[in-house]
Amino acid sequence: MIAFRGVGHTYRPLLGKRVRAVDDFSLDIAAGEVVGIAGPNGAGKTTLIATLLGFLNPSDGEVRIEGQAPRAYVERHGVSYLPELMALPTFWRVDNALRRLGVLAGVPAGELEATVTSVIDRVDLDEHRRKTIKALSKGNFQRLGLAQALLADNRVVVFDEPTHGLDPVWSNRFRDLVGELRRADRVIFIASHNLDELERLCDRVVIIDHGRMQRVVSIASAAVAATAWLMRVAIGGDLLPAHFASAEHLTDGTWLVRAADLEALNTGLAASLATGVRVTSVVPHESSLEHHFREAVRR
Amino acid sequence: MSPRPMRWLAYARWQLVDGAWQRLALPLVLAMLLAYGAFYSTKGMAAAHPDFWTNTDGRRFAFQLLRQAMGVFIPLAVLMGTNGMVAQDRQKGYFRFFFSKPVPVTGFYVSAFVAQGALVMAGAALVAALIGVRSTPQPMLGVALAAGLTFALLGSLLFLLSTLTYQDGLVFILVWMLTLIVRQLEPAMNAGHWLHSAVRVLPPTHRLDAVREALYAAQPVATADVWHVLAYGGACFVLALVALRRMPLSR
Repeated sequence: MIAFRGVGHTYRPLLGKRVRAVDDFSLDIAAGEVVGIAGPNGAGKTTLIATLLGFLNPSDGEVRIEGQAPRAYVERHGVSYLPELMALPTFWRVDNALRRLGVLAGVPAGELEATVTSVIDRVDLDEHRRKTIKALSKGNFQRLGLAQALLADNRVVVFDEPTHGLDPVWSNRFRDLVGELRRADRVIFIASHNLDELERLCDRVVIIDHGRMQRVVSIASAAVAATAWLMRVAIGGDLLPAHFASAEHLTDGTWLVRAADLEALNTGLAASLATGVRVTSVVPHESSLEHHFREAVRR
Repeated sequence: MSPRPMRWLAYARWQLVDGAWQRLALPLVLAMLLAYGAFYSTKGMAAAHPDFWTNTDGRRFAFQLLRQAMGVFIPLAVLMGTNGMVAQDRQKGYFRFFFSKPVPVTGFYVSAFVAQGALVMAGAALVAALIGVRSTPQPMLGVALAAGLTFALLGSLLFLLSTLTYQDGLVFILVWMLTLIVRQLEPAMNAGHWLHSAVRVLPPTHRLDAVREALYAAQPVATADVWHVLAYGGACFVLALVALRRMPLSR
Protein backbone atom coordinates (compact mmCIF):
# COMPACT_ATOMS: atom_id res chain seq x y z
CA MET A 1 0.00 0.00 0.00
CA ILE A 2 2.88 2.36 0.84
CA ALA A 3 6.24 2.07 -0.86
CA PHE A 4 9.43 3.99 -0.15
CA ARG A 5 11.95 3.32 -2.93
CA GLY A 6 15.50 4.54 -2.35
CA VAL A 7 14.18 7.71 -0.74
CA GLY A 8 16.75 10.34 0.11
CA HIS A 9 16.40 13.94 1.11
CA THR A 10 18.95 16.70 1.46
CA TYR A 11 18.10 20.04 3.00
CA ARG A 12 19.82 22.81 1.10
CA PRO A 13 19.66 26.07 3.02
CA LEU A 14 20.61 29.24 1.16
CA LEU A 15 23.26 29.86 3.77
CA GLY A 16 24.91 27.10 5.73
CA LYS A 17 25.70 23.45 5.32
CA ARG A 18 23.66 20.94 3.40
CA VAL A 19 22.12 18.28 5.59
CA ARG A 20 21.42 14.78 4.36
CA ALA A 21 18.35 13.99 6.48
CA VAL A 22 17.28 10.72 4.83
CA ASP A 23 19.43 8.43 2.75
CA ASP A 24 18.47 5.48 0.54
CA PHE A 25 15.41 4.46 2.54
CA SER A 26 13.35 1.62 1.10
CA LEU A 27 10.36 -0.03 2.72
CA ASP A 28 7.08 -1.62 1.67
CA ILE A 29 4.12 -1.44 4.02
CA ALA A 30 1.12 -3.65 3.40
CA ALA A 31 -2.48 -2.79 4.24
CA GLY A 32 -3.36 -3.92 7.74
CA GLU A 33 0.10 -3.27 9.18
CA VAL A 34 1.02 -1.05 12.08
CA VAL A 35 4.57 0.08 11.46
CA GLY A 36 6.68 2.02 13.89
CA ILE A 37 9.69 4.14 13.21
CA ALA A 38 12.25 4.71 15.91
CA GLY A 39 15.46 6.64 15.97
CA PRO A 40 17.36 9.18 18.00
CA ASN A 41 16.71 12.91 17.64
CA GLY A 42 17.57 14.11 14.16
CA ALA A 43 17.54 10.59 12.73
CA GLY A 44 15.21 11.62 9.92
CA LYS A 45 11.84 10.37 11.18
CA THR A 46 9.93 13.60 10.65
CA THR A 47 11.55 14.19 7.24
CA LEU A 48 10.46 10.71 6.21
CA ILE A 49 6.90 11.49 7.29
CA ALA A 50 7.02 14.79 5.40
CA THR A 51 7.86 12.86 2.22
CA LEU A 52 5.06 10.39 2.94
CA LEU A 53 2.54 13.24 3.18
CA GLY A 54 3.94 15.05 0.16
CA PHE A 55 5.06 18.05 2.23
CA LEU A 56 8.58 17.47 0.90
CA ASN A 57 9.64 16.10 -2.43
CA PRO A 58 12.44 13.61 -1.88
CA SER A 59 15.76 14.55 -3.47
CA ASP A 60 16.20 10.93 -4.56
CA GLY A 61 13.91 7.98 -4.99
CA GLU A 62 10.17 8.02 -4.71
CA VAL A 63 7.29 7.46 -2.33
CA ARG A 64 4.03 5.92 -3.50
CA ILE A 65 0.73 5.45 -1.72
CA GLU A 66 -1.47 2.99 -3.59
CA GLY A 67 0.65 3.73 -6.63
CA GLN A 68 0.10 7.48 -6.48
CA ALA A 69 2.47 10.30 -5.64
CA PRO A 70 1.85 11.30 -2.01
CA ARG A 71 0.50 14.79 -2.72
CA ALA A 72 -1.94 13.44 -5.29
CA TYR A 73 -3.08 10.73 -2.88
CA VAL A 74 -3.49 13.12 0.05
CA GLU A 75 -5.38 15.70 -2.02
CA ARG A 76 -7.76 13.00 -3.18
CA HIS A 77 -8.22 10.84 -0.07
CA GLY A 78 -6.65 12.60 2.91
CA VAL A 79 -4.48 11.12 5.63
CA SER A 80 -5.22 11.05 9.35
CA TYR A 81 -2.16 12.83 10.63
CA LEU A 82 -1.06 13.91 14.08
CA PRO A 83 2.11 15.99 13.65
CA GLU A 84 4.88 16.15 16.19
CA LEU A 85 4.98 19.94 15.88
CA MET A 86 1.47 20.85 16.93
CA ALA A 87 0.57 24.34 15.75
CA LEU A 88 -2.85 25.85 15.19
CA PRO A 89 -3.93 29.48 15.57
CA THR A 90 -4.15 29.98 19.31
CA PHE A 91 -7.32 32.07 19.19
CA TRP A 92 -9.32 29.26 17.62
CA ARG A 93 -11.81 27.62 19.92
CA VAL A 94 -11.49 23.85 20.30
CA ASP A 95 -14.90 23.05 18.79
CA ASN A 96 -14.44 25.58 15.97
CA ALA A 97 -10.98 24.18 15.20
CA LEU A 98 -12.57 20.77 14.78
CA ARG A 99 -15.41 22.20 12.69
CA ARG A 100 -12.91 23.94 10.40
CA LEU A 101 -10.70 20.89 10.06
CA GLY A 102 -13.79 18.71 9.69
CA VAL A 103 -14.87 20.80 6.69
CA LEU A 104 -11.41 20.36 5.17
CA ALA A 105 -11.48 16.65 5.99
CA GLY A 106 -14.60 16.39 3.85
CA VAL A 107 -17.13 15.68 6.58
CA PRO A 108 -20.53 16.40 5.00
CA ALA A 109 -22.22 19.53 6.36
CA GLY A 110 -25.12 17.52 7.78
CA GLU A 111 -22.78 15.28 9.76
CA LEU A 112 -20.30 17.90 10.91
CA GLU A 113 -21.75 18.65 14.36
CA ALA A 114 -22.25 14.99 15.21
CA THR A 115 -18.72 14.14 14.03
CA VAL A 116 -17.16 16.97 16.03
CA THR A 117 -19.08 15.94 19.16
CA SER A 118 -18.10 12.33 18.60
CA VAL A 119 -14.35 13.02 18.36
CA ILE A 120 -14.51 15.42 21.31
CA ASP A 121 -16.11 12.67 23.37
CA ARG A 122 -13.62 10.13 22.09
CA VAL A 123 -10.66 12.12 23.41
CA ASP A 124 -12.58 13.38 26.44
CA LEU A 125 -12.29 17.10 25.63
CA ASP A 126 -15.91 18.01 26.29
CA GLU A 127 -15.17 20.28 29.26
CA HIS A 128 -12.63 22.16 27.12
CA ARG A 129 -14.63 22.41 23.90
CA ARG A 130 -15.36 26.13 24.24
CA LYS A 131 -11.84 27.07 25.32
CA THR A 132 -9.39 28.68 22.98
CA ILE A 133 -6.36 26.64 21.99
CA LYS A 134 -4.22 29.12 23.91
CA ALA A 135 -5.95 28.04 27.12
CA LEU A 136 -5.26 24.33 26.62
CA SER A 137 -2.56 22.45 28.48
CA LYS A 138 0.06 20.58 26.45
CA GLY A 139 -1.71 17.28 27.04
CA ASN A 140 -5.12 18.64 26.05
CA PHE A 141 -3.66 20.24 22.94
CA GLN A 142 -2.18 16.88 22.03
CA ARG A 143 -5.61 15.32 22.50
CA LEU A 144 -7.06 17.97 20.20
CA GLY A 145 -4.45 16.91 17.64
CA LEU A 146 -5.56 13.35 18.09
CA ALA A 147 -9.23 14.37 17.75
CA GLN A 148 -8.64 16.14 14.43
CA ALA A 149 -6.86 13.06 13.11
CA LEU A 150 -9.99 11.04 13.87
CA LEU A 151 -12.39 13.32 11.98
CA ALA A 152 -12.28 11.25 8.82
CA ASP A 153 -12.13 7.52 8.22
CA ASN A 154 -8.88 7.46 6.25
CA ARG A 155 -6.91 4.42 5.11
CA VAL A 156 -3.57 5.92 6.00
CA VAL A 157 -2.98 7.03 9.58
CA VAL A 158 0.26 8.75 10.60
CA PHE A 159 1.12 9.60 14.19
CA ASP A 160 4.33 11.50 14.90
CA GLU A 161 5.25 11.30 18.60
CA PRO A 162 1.61 10.70 19.49
CA THR A 163 1.96 10.40 23.27
CA HIS A 164 4.23 13.41 23.68
CA GLY A 165 2.72 15.42 26.52
CA LEU A 166 0.05 12.86 27.36
CA ASP A 167 -0.29 11.61 30.93
CA PRO A 168 -0.01 7.85 31.66
CA VAL A 169 -3.79 7.42 31.56
CA TRP A 170 -3.98 8.94 28.10
CA SER A 171 -0.90 7.10 26.89
CA ASN A 172 -2.78 3.91 27.74
CA ARG A 173 -5.94 5.13 26.06
CA PHE A 174 -3.90 5.96 22.99
CA ARG A 175 -2.89 2.31 22.81
CA ASP A 176 -6.55 1.30 22.93
CA LEU A 177 -7.27 3.83 20.22
CA VAL A 178 -4.65 2.34 17.92
CA GLY A 179 -6.23 -1.06 18.59
CA GLU A 180 -9.59 0.34 17.52
CA LEU A 181 -8.10 1.93 14.41
CA ARG A 182 -6.30 -1.25 13.32
CA ARG A 183 -8.09 -2.56 10.22
CA ALA A 184 -7.27 -4.90 7.37
CA ASP A 185 -7.36 -2.14 4.74
CA ARG A 186 -5.52 0.49 6.77
CA VAL A 187 -1.89 1.33 7.40
CA ILE A 188 -0.92 2.93 10.69
CA PHE A 189 2.50 4.56 10.79
CA ILE A 190 3.83 5.66 14.17
CA ALA A 191 7.05 7.58 14.81
CA SER A 192 8.07 7.63 18.43
CA HIS A 193 10.97 7.77 20.84
CA ASN A 194 9.01 5.54 23.16
CA LEU A 195 10.25 2.04 22.34
CA ASP A 196 7.94 0.39 24.84
CA GLU A 197 4.98 2.03 23.13
CA LEU A 198 6.15 0.94 19.69
CA GLU A 199 6.75 -2.60 20.92
CA ARG A 200 3.21 -2.80 22.27
CA LEU A 201 1.52 -1.27 19.23
CA CYS A 202 3.43 -2.24 16.12
CA ASP A 203 3.88 -5.29 13.92
CA ARG A 204 7.25 -4.03 12.71
CA VAL A 205 9.52 -1.27 13.85
CA VAL A 206 12.01 0.40 11.54
CA ILE A 207 15.08 1.75 13.29
CA ILE A 208 16.78 4.63 11.53
CA ASP A 209 19.83 6.65 12.38
CA HIS A 210 21.58 9.41 10.45
CA GLY A 211 18.82 9.14 7.89
CA ARG A 212 19.58 5.50 7.04
CA MET A 213 17.52 2.47 7.82
CA GLN A 214 19.53 0.40 10.32
CA ARG A 215 17.19 -2.54 10.71
CA VAL A 216 13.57 -3.62 10.62
CA VAL A 217 12.46 -5.47 13.73
CA SER A 218 9.52 -7.82 13.53
CA ILE A 219 7.99 -7.50 16.99
CA ALA A 220 6.38 -10.96 17.08
CA SER A 221 9.62 -12.81 16.35
CA ALA A 222 11.74 -10.47 18.45
CA ALA A 223 9.68 -11.02 21.59
CA VAL A 224 11.37 -14.33 22.45
CA ALA A 225 14.87 -13.16 21.61
CA ALA A 226 15.83 -11.72 25.01
CA THR A 227 18.94 -13.26 26.61
CA ALA A 228 19.27 -11.22 29.78
CA TRP A 229 16.63 -11.19 32.51
CA LEU A 230 16.01 -9.33 35.72
CA MET A 231 14.94 -11.72 38.44
CA ARG A 232 13.54 -10.52 41.77
CA VAL A 233 14.11 -13.08 44.43
CA ALA A 234 12.43 -13.23 47.87
CA ILE A 235 14.37 -16.19 49.31
CA GLY A 236 17.59 -17.98 48.32
CA GLY A 237 19.20 -15.50 45.96
CA ASP A 238 22.62 -16.79 46.89
CA LEU A 239 21.72 -20.11 45.28
CA LEU A 240 21.14 -18.59 41.83
CA PRO A 241 24.79 -18.65 40.62
CA ALA A 242 24.69 -22.42 40.91
CA HIS A 243 22.06 -22.55 38.17
CA PHE A 244 22.88 -19.44 36.14
CA ALA A 245 26.64 -19.25 35.70
CA SER A 246 26.75 -15.52 35.03
CA ALA A 247 24.14 -14.46 37.62
CA GLU A 248 24.98 -11.04 38.94
CA HIS A 249 23.57 -9.47 42.08
CA LEU A 250 22.44 -5.94 41.26
CA THR A 251 20.54 -4.56 44.23
CA ASP A 252 18.78 -5.98 47.20
CA GLY A 253 16.91 -9.05 45.93
CA THR A 254 17.39 -8.24 42.24
CA TRP A 255 19.61 -10.43 40.06
CA LEU A 256 20.68 -10.20 36.46
CA VAL A 257 20.74 -13.65 34.87
CA ARG A 258 21.69 -14.66 31.35
CA ALA A 259 20.23 -17.54 29.38
CA ALA A 260 20.84 -18.42 25.76
CA ASP A 261 17.13 -18.91 25.10
CA LEU A 262 13.78 -19.45 26.76
CA GLU A 263 14.51 -23.14 27.23
CA ALA A 264 17.72 -22.44 29.13
CA LEU A 265 15.98 -19.80 31.24
CA ASN A 266 13.19 -22.14 32.25
CA THR A 267 15.55 -25.02 32.98
CA GLY A 268 17.67 -22.84 35.25
CA LEU A 269 14.56 -21.40 36.87
CA ALA A 270 13.11 -24.84 37.57
CA ALA A 271 16.39 -26.01 39.10
CA SER A 272 16.55 -22.90 41.27
CA LEU A 273 12.97 -23.33 42.50
CA ALA A 274 13.70 -26.96 43.30
CA THR A 275 16.56 -25.93 45.60
CA GLY A 276 14.34 -23.50 47.54
CA VAL A 277 14.78 -20.25 45.65
CA ARG A 278 11.56 -18.21 45.70
CA VAL A 279 11.11 -15.82 42.77
CA THR A 280 8.67 -12.88 42.72
CA SER A 281 9.19 -11.76 39.10
CA VAL A 282 11.21 -12.36 35.94
CA VAL A 283 11.30 -9.69 33.23
CA PRO A 284 13.58 -9.12 30.25
CA HIS A 285 16.52 -6.92 31.25
CA GLU A 286 15.76 -4.77 28.25
CA SER A 287 12.95 -5.13 25.76
CA SER A 288 13.87 -6.91 22.57
CA LEU A 289 13.22 -3.70 20.67
CA GLU A 290 15.39 -1.76 23.06
CA HIS A 291 18.12 -4.36 22.54
CA HIS A 292 17.88 -3.97 18.75
CA PHE A 293 17.79 -0.21 19.09
CA ARG A 294 20.95 -0.14 21.21
CA GLU A 295 22.73 -2.35 18.75
CA ALA A 296 21.56 -0.38 15.73
CA VAL A 297 22.21 3.06 17.15
CA ARG A 298 25.66 2.89 18.64
CA ARG A 299 26.85 6.35 19.63
CA MET B 1 -14.25 9.54 2.91
CA SER B 2 -15.39 9.66 -0.67
CA PRO B 3 -13.66 12.28 -2.78
CA ARG B 4 -15.84 15.35 -3.24
CA PRO B 5 -14.27 17.92 -5.53
CA MET B 6 -14.37 21.58 -4.42
CA ARG B 7 -15.00 20.69 -0.75
CA TRP B 8 -12.40 23.32 0.09
CA LEU B 9 -14.87 25.94 -1.09
CA ALA B 10 -16.90 25.18 2.02
CA TYR B 11 -13.93 26.46 4.00
CA ALA B 12 -14.22 29.90 2.34
CA ARG B 13 -16.76 30.83 5.03
CA TRP B 14 -14.02 30.53 7.66
CA GLN B 15 -11.54 32.35 5.44
CA LEU B 16 -14.00 35.25 5.17
CA VAL B 17 -14.41 35.37 8.94
CA ASP B 18 -10.63 35.27 9.52
CA GLY B 19 -10.03 37.84 6.80
CA ALA B 20 -12.61 40.24 8.22
CA TRP B 21 -11.39 40.07 11.83
CA GLN B 22 -7.67 39.64 11.44
CA ARG B 23 -6.88 41.45 8.24
CA LEU B 24 -9.63 43.94 7.43
CA ALA B 25 -10.80 45.29 10.79
CA LEU B 26 -7.79 47.50 11.53
CA PRO B 27 -7.65 49.33 8.14
CA LEU B 28 -11.42 49.78 8.32
CA VAL B 29 -11.26 51.28 11.80
CA LEU B 30 -8.40 53.60 10.78
CA ALA B 31 -10.27 54.83 7.69
CA MET B 32 -13.39 55.38 9.77
CA LEU B 33 -11.44 57.32 12.40
CA LEU B 34 -9.91 59.49 9.71
CA ALA B 35 -13.34 60.20 8.22
CA TYR B 36 -14.81 60.85 11.66
CA GLY B 37 -12.03 63.32 12.44
CA ALA B 38 -12.63 65.16 9.18
CA PHE B 39 -16.38 65.34 9.75
CA TYR B 40 -15.81 66.52 13.31
CA SER B 41 -13.61 69.36 12.04
CA THR B 42 -16.36 70.53 9.65
CA LYS B 43 -19.15 70.23 12.20
CA GLY B 44 -19.35 73.97 12.82
CA MET B 45 -19.20 74.89 9.15
CA ALA B 46 -21.85 72.37 8.18
CA ALA B 47 -24.11 73.65 10.97
CA ALA B 48 -23.65 77.29 9.89
CA HIS B 49 -24.22 76.47 6.21
CA PRO B 50 -26.92 73.80 5.79
CA ASP B 51 -26.14 73.60 2.05
CA PHE B 52 -22.41 73.02 2.73
CA TRP B 53 -22.35 69.45 1.35
CA THR B 54 -24.20 70.40 -1.81
CA ASN B 55 -22.08 73.38 -2.77
CA THR B 56 -18.77 73.18 -4.61
CA ASP B 57 -16.57 73.52 -1.54
CA GLY B 58 -18.44 70.82 0.31
CA ARG B 59 -18.29 68.45 -2.66
CA ARG B 60 -14.58 69.12 -3.09
CA PHE B 61 -14.02 68.51 0.61
CA ALA B 62 -15.94 65.22 0.49
CA PHE B 63 -13.96 64.12 -2.56
CA GLN B 64 -10.66 64.94 -0.85
CA LEU B 65 -11.83 63.09 2.23
CA LEU B 66 -12.71 60.05 0.14
CA ARG B 67 -9.24 60.12 -1.48
CA GLN B 68 -7.55 60.42 1.90
CA ALA B 69 -9.64 57.66 3.45
CA MET B 70 -8.95 55.39 0.50
CA GLY B 71 -5.29 56.39 0.61
CA VAL B 72 -5.17 54.90 4.09
CA PHE B 73 -7.62 52.06 3.70
CA ILE B 74 -6.73 50.47 0.37
CA PRO B 75 -2.94 50.07 0.68
CA LEU B 76 -3.24 48.97 4.30
CA ALA B 77 -6.10 46.55 3.58
CA VAL B 78 -4.19 45.06 0.64
CA LEU B 79 -0.94 44.80 2.58
CA MET B 80 -2.53 43.32 5.68
CA GLY B 81 -4.88 41.22 3.58
CA THR B 82 -2.22 39.28 1.73
CA ASN B 83 0.91 39.61 3.85
CA GLY B 84 1.85 36.15 5.08
CA MET B 85 -1.14 34.51 3.43
CA VAL B 86 0.94 31.47 2.48
CA ALA B 87 4.16 32.14 4.39
CA GLN B 88 2.48 32.23 7.79
CA ASP B 89 0.87 28.81 7.34
CA ARG B 90 4.24 27.42 6.35
CA GLN B 91 6.30 29.17 8.96
CA LYS B 92 3.96 28.41 11.84
CA GLY B 93 3.27 24.86 10.65
CA TYR B 94 -0.50 25.16 10.20
CA PHE B 95 -0.09 23.58 6.77
CA ARG B 96 0.44 20.20 8.43
CA PHE B 97 -3.17 20.23 9.55
CA PHE B 98 -4.69 21.83 6.47
CA PHE B 99 -2.92 19.81 3.83
CA SER B 100 -3.08 16.37 5.37
CA LYS B 101 -6.77 16.76 4.60
CA PRO B 102 -8.05 16.06 1.09
CA VAL B 103 -7.60 19.66 0.00
CA PRO B 104 -5.73 21.00 -3.04
CA VAL B 105 -3.14 23.52 -1.91
CA THR B 106 -3.82 25.84 -4.84
CA GLY B 107 -7.59 25.69 -4.36
CA PHE B 108 -7.24 26.51 -0.68
CA TYR B 109 -5.20 29.64 -1.35
CA VAL B 110 -7.19 30.75 -4.40
CA SER B 111 -10.24 30.68 -2.17
CA ALA B 112 -8.40 32.63 0.57
CA PHE B 113 -7.19 35.20 -1.96
CA VAL B 114 -10.59 35.71 -3.58
CA ALA B 115 -12.31 35.96 -0.19
CA GLN B 116 -9.81 38.61 0.92
CA GLY B 117 -10.18 40.53 -2.34
CA ALA B 118 -13.95 40.57 -1.92
CA LEU B 119 -13.55 41.82 1.65
CA VAL B 120 -11.22 44.64 0.58
CA MET B 121 -13.68 45.73 -2.13
CA ALA B 122 -16.63 45.55 0.27
CA GLY B 123 -14.66 47.47 2.91
CA ALA B 124 -13.80 50.25 0.46
CA ALA B 125 -17.43 50.48 -0.66
CA LEU B 126 -18.54 50.63 2.97
CA VAL B 127 -16.16 53.50 3.78
CA ALA B 128 -17.33 55.35 0.65
CA ALA B 129 -20.95 54.72 1.58
CA LEU B 130 -20.47 56.06 5.10
CA ILE B 131 -18.71 59.17 3.79
CA GLY B 132 -21.54 59.55 1.27
CA VAL B 133 -24.25 59.25 3.91
CA ARG B 134 -22.62 61.96 6.04
CA SER B 135 -21.72 64.32 3.18
CA THR B 136 -22.53 63.88 -0.48
CA PRO B 137 -23.02 60.57 -2.37
CA GLN B 138 -19.74 58.92 -3.38
CA PRO B 139 -19.06 56.54 -6.28
CA MET B 140 -19.21 53.31 -4.25
CA LEU B 141 -18.83 51.07 -7.27
CA GLY B 142 -15.85 53.05 -8.57
CA VAL B 143 -14.20 52.96 -5.17
CA ALA B 144 -14.81 49.21 -4.87
CA LEU B 145 -13.34 48.71 -8.35
CA ALA B 146 -10.31 50.82 -7.44
CA ALA B 147 -9.79 48.67 -4.35
CA GLY B 148 -10.26 45.53 -6.44
CA LEU B 149 -7.68 46.65 -9.03
CA THR B 150 -5.20 47.54 -6.29
CA PHE B 151 -5.75 44.14 -4.74
CA ALA B 152 -5.37 42.49 -8.15
CA LEU B 153 -2.03 44.21 -8.70
CA LEU B 154 -0.35 44.57 -5.32
CA GLY B 155 -2.22 41.76 -3.59
CA SER B 156 -1.16 39.33 -6.32
CA LEU B 157 2.45 40.49 -6.05
CA LEU B 158 2.40 40.03 -2.29
CA PHE B 159 0.66 36.65 -2.72
CA LEU B 160 3.47 35.59 -5.05
CA LEU B 161 6.13 36.77 -2.60
CA SER B 162 4.33 34.94 0.18
CA THR B 163 4.69 31.66 -1.71
CA LEU B 164 8.40 32.29 -2.24
CA THR B 165 9.65 33.68 1.06
CA TYR B 166 8.74 33.99 4.72
CA GLN B 167 9.82 37.66 4.52
CA ASP B 168 7.12 38.57 2.02
CA GLY B 169 6.05 41.81 3.70
CA LEU B 170 9.59 43.12 3.87
CA VAL B 171 10.39 42.16 0.26
CA PHE B 172 7.12 43.74 -0.87
CA ILE B 173 7.96 47.03 0.81
CA LEU B 174 11.41 46.96 -0.79
CA VAL B 175 9.89 46.32 -4.23
CA TRP B 176 7.36 49.08 -3.68
CA MET B 177 10.04 51.57 -2.62
CA LEU B 178 12.24 50.54 -5.53
CA THR B 179 9.30 51.09 -7.86
CA LEU B 180 8.68 54.58 -6.50
CA ILE B 181 12.36 55.52 -6.79
CA VAL B 182 12.82 54.09 -10.28
CA ARG B 183 9.67 55.80 -11.55
CA GLN B 184 10.99 59.09 -10.20
CA LEU B 185 14.33 58.58 -11.93
CA GLU B 186 13.01 57.16 -15.20
CA PRO B 187 12.03 60.45 -16.95
CA ALA B 188 15.55 61.81 -16.42
CA MET B 189 17.22 58.80 -18.03
CA ASN B 190 18.38 58.72 -21.62
CA ALA B 191 16.64 56.43 -24.06
CA GLY B 192 18.25 53.01 -23.95
CA HIS B 193 19.22 53.31 -20.30
CA TRP B 194 18.84 50.01 -18.45
CA LEU B 195 16.34 51.61 -16.09
CA HIS B 196 13.83 51.77 -18.94
CA SER B 197 14.03 47.99 -19.23
CA ALA B 198 14.07 47.44 -15.48
CA VAL B 199 10.96 49.51 -15.02
CA ARG B 200 8.96 47.09 -17.15
CA VAL B 201 9.28 44.29 -14.60
CA LEU B 202 8.23 46.51 -11.72
CA PRO B 203 4.54 46.80 -10.84
CA PRO B 204 2.76 49.46 -12.95
CA THR B 205 1.70 51.53 -9.95
CA HIS B 206 1.63 54.73 -12.04
CA ARG B 207 -1.05 53.23 -14.26
CA LEU B 208 -2.95 52.01 -11.22
CA ASP B 209 -2.84 55.52 -9.74
CA ALA B 210 -4.27 56.99 -12.92
CA VAL B 211 -7.09 54.43 -13.04
CA ARG B 212 -7.84 54.91 -9.35
CA GLU B 213 -8.08 58.69 -9.64
CA ALA B 214 -10.49 58.34 -12.55
CA LEU B 215 -12.64 55.87 -10.64
CA TYR B 216 -12.81 58.07 -7.53
CA ALA B 217 -13.89 60.98 -9.70
CA ALA B 218 -16.38 58.77 -11.59
CA GLN B 219 -14.52 59.60 -14.81
CA PRO B 220 -13.90 57.21 -17.73
CA VAL B 221 -10.78 55.09 -17.24
CA ALA B 222 -8.05 54.30 -19.78
CA THR B 223 -8.77 50.70 -20.76
CA ALA B 224 -5.12 50.07 -21.66
CA ASP B 225 -4.10 51.00 -18.12
CA VAL B 226 -6.68 48.64 -16.64
CA TRP B 227 -5.48 45.78 -18.84
CA HIS B 228 -1.86 46.49 -17.96
CA VAL B 229 -2.66 46.38 -14.25
CA LEU B 230 -4.73 43.21 -14.62
CA ALA B 231 -2.09 41.52 -16.80
CA TYR B 232 0.68 42.22 -14.29
CA GLY B 233 -1.46 41.09 -11.35
CA GLY B 234 -2.66 38.05 -13.29
CA ALA B 235 0.90 37.05 -14.14
CA CYS B 236 1.92 37.31 -10.47
CA PHE B 237 -1.13 35.28 -9.46
CA VAL B 238 -0.44 32.51 -11.99
CA LEU B 239 3.23 32.38 -10.97
CA ALA B 240 2.13 32.10 -7.35
CA LEU B 241 -0.10 29.15 -8.22
CA VAL B 242 2.73 27.48 -10.14
CA ALA B 243 5.04 28.02 -7.15
CA LEU B 244 2.42 26.60 -4.80
CA ARG B 245 2.05 23.57 -7.02
CA ARG B 246 5.74 22.90 -7.48
CA MET B 247 7.42 24.04 -4.29
CA PRO B 248 7.39 21.79 -1.23
CA LEU B 249 5.13 22.88 1.61
CA SER B 250 7.75 22.08 4.20
CA ARG B 251 11.23 23.55 4.16
